[in-house]
Amino acid sequence: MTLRRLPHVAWLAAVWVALWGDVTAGNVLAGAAVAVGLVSVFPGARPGPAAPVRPAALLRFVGFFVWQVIKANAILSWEIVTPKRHLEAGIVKMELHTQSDAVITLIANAITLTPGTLALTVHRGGPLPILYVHILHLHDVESVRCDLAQTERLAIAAFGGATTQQRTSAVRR
Amino acid sequence: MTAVTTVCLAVLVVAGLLCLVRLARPGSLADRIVALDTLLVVTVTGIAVAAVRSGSGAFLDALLVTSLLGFVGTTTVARFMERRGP
Amino acid sequence: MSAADLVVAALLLVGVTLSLLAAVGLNRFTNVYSRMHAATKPATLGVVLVAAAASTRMADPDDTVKLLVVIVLQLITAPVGAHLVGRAAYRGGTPLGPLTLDELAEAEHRRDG
Repeated sequence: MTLRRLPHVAWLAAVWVALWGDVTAGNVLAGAAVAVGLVSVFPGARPGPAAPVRPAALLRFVGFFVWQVIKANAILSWEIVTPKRHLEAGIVKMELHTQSDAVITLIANAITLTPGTLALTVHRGGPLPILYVHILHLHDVESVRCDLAQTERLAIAAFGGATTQQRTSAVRR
Repeated sequence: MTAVTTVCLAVLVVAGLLCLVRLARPGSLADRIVALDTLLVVTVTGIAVAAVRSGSGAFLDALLVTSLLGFVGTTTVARFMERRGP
Repeated sequence: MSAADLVVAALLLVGVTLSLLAAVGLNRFTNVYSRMHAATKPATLGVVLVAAAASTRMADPDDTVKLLVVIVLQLITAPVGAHLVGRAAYRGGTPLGPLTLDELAEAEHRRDG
């Protein structure tokens, strides 16, 4: 177990303590022991190079994400309640400008959690990973693509590393 | 607050019944697993509302276990479904 | 009822309405993937709202923390579950229904042919 896994161990120990409720020395030690044991037995994916989290960008990402969720829920609720119309579903493709597994997972989760979009599959063969997103109602393709690109950009700004930032801004220009 | 929680629980019962209706209707495996997952989420919501109604957190451990089981079950059936087909 | 009680009551009602809409959408939509959209997302957000409202009403701080753990858990696991079911349905060959735009099919054909 290398020191790189320390965030995993800390997170697992924190969940253990939260489940027990009291922050006593016994709980913390037991949590740490269980976490170390679990991480040793089930290593999981190798953690990539740690990238610093930028708090301002993180706030922007969370704010945009919450707004998307509220808006999409309202739209979906309306579509459920109004009489059946022909839904124009579709699958759009999105090129992702990051190679980090953690950031791709975060983007896919954020996209899946907003109603109306579902991350279907990721193709990693080419130069850039491509994410395919299933859209529930494609009434305006460009605005959907815009929202997806905005999600990706804000997530990379919050969590991606420095080189990813440069690549992203270079592509945008 | 008791009146509000009563209304909430009634609404959740209706939601659960609709999930069961979906489960019984002819459809693919994906439909059935989504219906079960939704039913479990409705159950978790119900436990949380019951906790508000009674004011005690005696069954919150059941809430945690139910949500974990829902996730694990859905994931397992999804892996199974990839090989088997709809 | 005080203002805080009103907020909690409103959150509870909105949360369970989302769950009800999820169940209704499960029955109304005609396509497998549309049903997946309608059922998983609003139900999860309903649970988050209800748990958030409930966490403020617990007398014991241990229970508050447990509800917050449930919220975080649901926010992390529900999208993963929905994605896996969607991907499994696609790979298993579930019919997609009428699509106005399908960029994945083009990519698959290019890979096969």
